[in-house]
Amino acid sequence: MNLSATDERLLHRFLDGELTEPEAAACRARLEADAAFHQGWLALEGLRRVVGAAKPASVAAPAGFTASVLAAARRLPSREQLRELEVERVAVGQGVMTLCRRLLIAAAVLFCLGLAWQSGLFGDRRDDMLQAAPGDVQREMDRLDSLIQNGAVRPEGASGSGSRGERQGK
Amino acid sequence: MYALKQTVETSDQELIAAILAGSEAAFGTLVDRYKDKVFRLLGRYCRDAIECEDLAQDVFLKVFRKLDTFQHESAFFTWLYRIAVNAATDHLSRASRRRLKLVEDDAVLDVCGQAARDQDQDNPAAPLMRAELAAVTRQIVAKLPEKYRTILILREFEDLSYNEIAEVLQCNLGTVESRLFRARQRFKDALERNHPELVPTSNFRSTNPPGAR
Repeated sequence: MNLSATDERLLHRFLDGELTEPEAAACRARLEADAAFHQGWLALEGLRRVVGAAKPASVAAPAGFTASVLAAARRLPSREQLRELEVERVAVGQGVMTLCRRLLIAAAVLFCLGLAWQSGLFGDRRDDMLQAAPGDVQREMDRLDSLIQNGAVRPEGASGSGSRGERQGK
Repeated sequence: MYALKQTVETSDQELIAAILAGSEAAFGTLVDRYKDKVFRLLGRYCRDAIECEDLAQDVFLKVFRKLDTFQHESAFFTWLYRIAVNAATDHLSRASRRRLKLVEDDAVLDVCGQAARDQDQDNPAAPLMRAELAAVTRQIVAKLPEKYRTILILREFEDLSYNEIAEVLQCNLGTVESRLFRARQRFKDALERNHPELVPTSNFRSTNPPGAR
């Protein structure tokens, strides 16, 4: 027996009583005409009988069950109290949610600021870059060299040795 | 004080209105009306009668507490079943966390039933065979994943329609149909694996389809 999935589903719906009357009539007609369809129906019906074997025929709640439920219900807070508790719970929940939301927003803003800082968007207002034409740089270097040669300016490091000499002299 | 005329005809809606107005008697009537159904449903998920009773009490207390949230958009019993199914599945997950093996108690579920016993007078071996088949079936159903077990219970044991199951499980009709299809397929696979002698063949029952001439 090889039924298509569509046919199998049709049989399930037929056996579960979920087809409309015209659909069910068409299904019954097909069961009489189509041997494979009929075999599928028999197998499925058999399976349902096996499953149904565990169906409890009679289950009754124990005596006094209703009384015990009513006694337990009496111990519950009154409906008004329950409503107030619920309102309180919701208010507390909303407060916690608001706080969490604010903390999340603050954390997100701080994170973004950190990223911006890291990527150098906030400069320290110091311009360490030389922005001059090569010719100007060369002229400035020549001027400084001539000043050094004339003794007007001591090269960097010379003043350190001088002070050391002064310390030794003392 | 609210006085409720308690008759058999009192509708669920009237009872609910009375309970919300503070009538304890109305709540008692509602519990009386549905306790057996709830017990039968919960019996599928509990190990013994005591556990079943505790769970059923929890269900009705939850109903009492949440009754003002019932919207009357669906039948009361589907709302009640939804609470019961949720309570049962929570109970199952707690039980599995405690690594308890769920074994259904025949004291909770009288499988054969008096009607079936009456039919067995012609065949003395029939009750034994039926009991064995029921035990096998219950074992397989108990081992199915929760969603398949629940849908089989609602359809095969509680006789709910697809629409009612959809309301209880809060899913659409297509989901009900496909889940039920897969549940039966899984049941059949498990039966074939563990008890091939019980697998129904096409000769299982040589009768005519319903309504066929």
